[in-house]
Amino acid sequence: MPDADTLPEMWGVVPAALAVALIGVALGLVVAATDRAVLTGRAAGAAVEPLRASARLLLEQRRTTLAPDRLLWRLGCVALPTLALLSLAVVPVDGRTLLLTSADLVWFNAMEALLWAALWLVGWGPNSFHALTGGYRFLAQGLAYELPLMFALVTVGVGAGSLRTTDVLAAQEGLWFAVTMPVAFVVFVASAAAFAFWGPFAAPTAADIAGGVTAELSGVDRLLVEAGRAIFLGATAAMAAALFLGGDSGPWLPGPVWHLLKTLAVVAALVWIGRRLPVLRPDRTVEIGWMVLVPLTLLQALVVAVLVLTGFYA
Amino acid sequence: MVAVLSLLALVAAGVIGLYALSSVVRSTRGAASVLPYESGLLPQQHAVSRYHARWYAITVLFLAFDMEMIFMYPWAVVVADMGATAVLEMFGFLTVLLVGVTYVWREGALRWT
Amino acid sequence: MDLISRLGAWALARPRVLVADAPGSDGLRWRVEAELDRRGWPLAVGPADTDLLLVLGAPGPELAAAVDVIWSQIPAPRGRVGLCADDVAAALDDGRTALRERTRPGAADDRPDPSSLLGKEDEQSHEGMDHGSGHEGMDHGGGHEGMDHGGGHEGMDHGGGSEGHHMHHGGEVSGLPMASTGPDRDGLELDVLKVSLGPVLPGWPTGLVLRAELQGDVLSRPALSWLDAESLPACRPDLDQRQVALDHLARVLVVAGWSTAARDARRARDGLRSENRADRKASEELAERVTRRVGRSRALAWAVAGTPVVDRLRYWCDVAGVVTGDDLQVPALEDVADMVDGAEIGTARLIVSALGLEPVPAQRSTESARA
Repeated sequence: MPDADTLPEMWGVVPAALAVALIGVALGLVVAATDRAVLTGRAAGAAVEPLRASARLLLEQRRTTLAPDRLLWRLGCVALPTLALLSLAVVPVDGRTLLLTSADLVWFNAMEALLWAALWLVGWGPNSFHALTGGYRFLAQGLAYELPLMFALVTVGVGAGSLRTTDVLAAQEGLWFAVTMPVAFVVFVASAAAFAFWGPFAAPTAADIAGGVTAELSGVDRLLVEAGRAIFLGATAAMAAALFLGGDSGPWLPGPVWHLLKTLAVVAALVWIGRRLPVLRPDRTVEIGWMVLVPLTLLQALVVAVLVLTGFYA
Repeated sequence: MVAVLSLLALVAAGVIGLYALSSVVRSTRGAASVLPYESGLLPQQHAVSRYHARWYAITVLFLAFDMEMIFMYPWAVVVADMGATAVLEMFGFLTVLLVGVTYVWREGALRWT
Repeated sequence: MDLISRLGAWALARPRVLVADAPGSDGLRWRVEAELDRRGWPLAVGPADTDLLLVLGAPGPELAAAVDVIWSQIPAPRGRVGLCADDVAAALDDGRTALRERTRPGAADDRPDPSSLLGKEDEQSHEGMDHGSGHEGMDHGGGHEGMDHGGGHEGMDHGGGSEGHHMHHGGEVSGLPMASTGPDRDGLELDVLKVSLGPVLPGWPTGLVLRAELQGDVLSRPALSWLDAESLPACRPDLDQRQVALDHLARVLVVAGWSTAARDARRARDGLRSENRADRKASEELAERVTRRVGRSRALAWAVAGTPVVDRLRYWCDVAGVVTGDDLQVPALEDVADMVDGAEIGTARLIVSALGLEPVPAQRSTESARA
């Protein structure tokens, strides 16, 4: 390992933070472009569409409804992209993270858990029953996917013997975690997509409740929410590539390029599979979350714990 | 921590910048004051209400597990050092919790529609 | 300034369109949706994400009033286009040009104040919804603490011209009363909201209104009606049954949140009308692929299990694939109300969109079996 442990030590605090923020925005744009290409079935020009949509929202008037809870509503809108970008602080870039703690995985988990509050606030704020219903749908959805996501993260921690993402990268030098933890890998990506209320997990913003939490959003407020969703999906893909696909390890090409390629692969797979499904309704999936995903991820954790005891990862 | 605070500051600056940019480029200054969307009809009551979350029983179950997670993160770090006892104890504990989940499931609390 | 106009022109190259189709303009709506798809203009879900409001056909007075409310909810820059049977492409182009004009700074925002909209409602008819004494100055002051004034569910009498005092025990805030309370499944007193679904919603038969009470996400005491029930077209235009089936299928898929399948169903529907034989053939294949995907989807089957949507989906898929099955009876609105009573709001939406309801006047109800 090089002598600098963190991005700020290598590049200085402000450039490192700026780099992470820009990476987040770029990942968000990639996710949005991929999603758009799959949704319309046309790849041509999809790359500029997210930029065009952002410009459109910047030019659009904001809305305020009758007697809204304005403070909480706007707070929720701002919190979404903020939390998404903060979750990137523990995603390794070139083998180093912006934030080096002894519990990086918990940090990622914490940022994602705060999304519960943020999105619920966006639904609560506008005093509209569609938005309110969407906000509560998100809470129900959270109940289904939060624990599987946590167990997937714990499994990684057990395998690496550490909750630090850089240690997780180092532990995968021999073998990617995806090989011994396939269930945790799939569950991590799917559950994180559920917290990004995207694709088959878009029940909180679904068409059957007229857009749900986003039903009353326009202008910059909507831009922030949609950016937050895309950036969090991008952060998820980058984190999944780091935790399960060996991050920047790979032959011939430089490490960051490998990490980028793996991230793009995760994004492509997620969007491709996700858009082939209808919305999975939280009132049906909670049962699956508890009776299938929780036992499965626990079994996965048990398998990994036994492998650790046998010295498999040493 | 300084790094995270600076990231936070950057994000805040970015958000404020977006709001400022939008207010410069958009044609209408103020926000549109509108009625909440009720598919074309007028709302009859305020939507903010004591929402009947029919799944509230699951939140209690969730809390039990969430507390357990607080033990599980540090456990993940020491499991290699502690050996088989740690694994046995943790999964014994989880089995007890899963018995509870199964009970809740059989009572039908995981379904509400 | 010039820079902003150019940015606006670029940003609004593909405006988001909300389509409000008057009853009987299905054929026109299909042409419009085909043209929008060809141009890559997305369909909006509600007024908040709309740039261009497209009103198809000639809406009756009540639907026109609803469209006006929606128009008042669209953020600037906004455009509104009325389309009867003219050149769809030209009308869309004109709408976009007008929309881009409005991105210039300093444009006036001539939007009615929400409270004036609410006030206007008092003068209008309440169409059977008995609000009792409406909005006259109940100034109990702010709201939440007043909501516990027990009471009132037994007084919810829509038909009988009662005073409806239960509406007011919370007082009014900004011209609207707070939610009233009612007993729930567990015997608790919890808030119930009076809500309406329709007339203009994605995947919803335009003009249909479902008024109900919402407790959490459960609909109860639903009542369905068509807007402008007296002035509806006498008979439905003659449309190809396969296209009708694909259209209904697309609606259900929109409500089920399956955007890609809904898109394919619409494309198949539009391609079946093509003059070109190769296009028609391709569309038939696309229709087959969509119906197969829908038929095989376990996720969809799981989402609609135990509802009448299951049968309807199979029926639309059969008709779309020229398997002519038995004619399916379109239920009366009262029966639909029974079906959605006590349903979760998403389930209720799926049921209504799957039934293939059409705004046929009551005296022609024998004809409705034709669908």
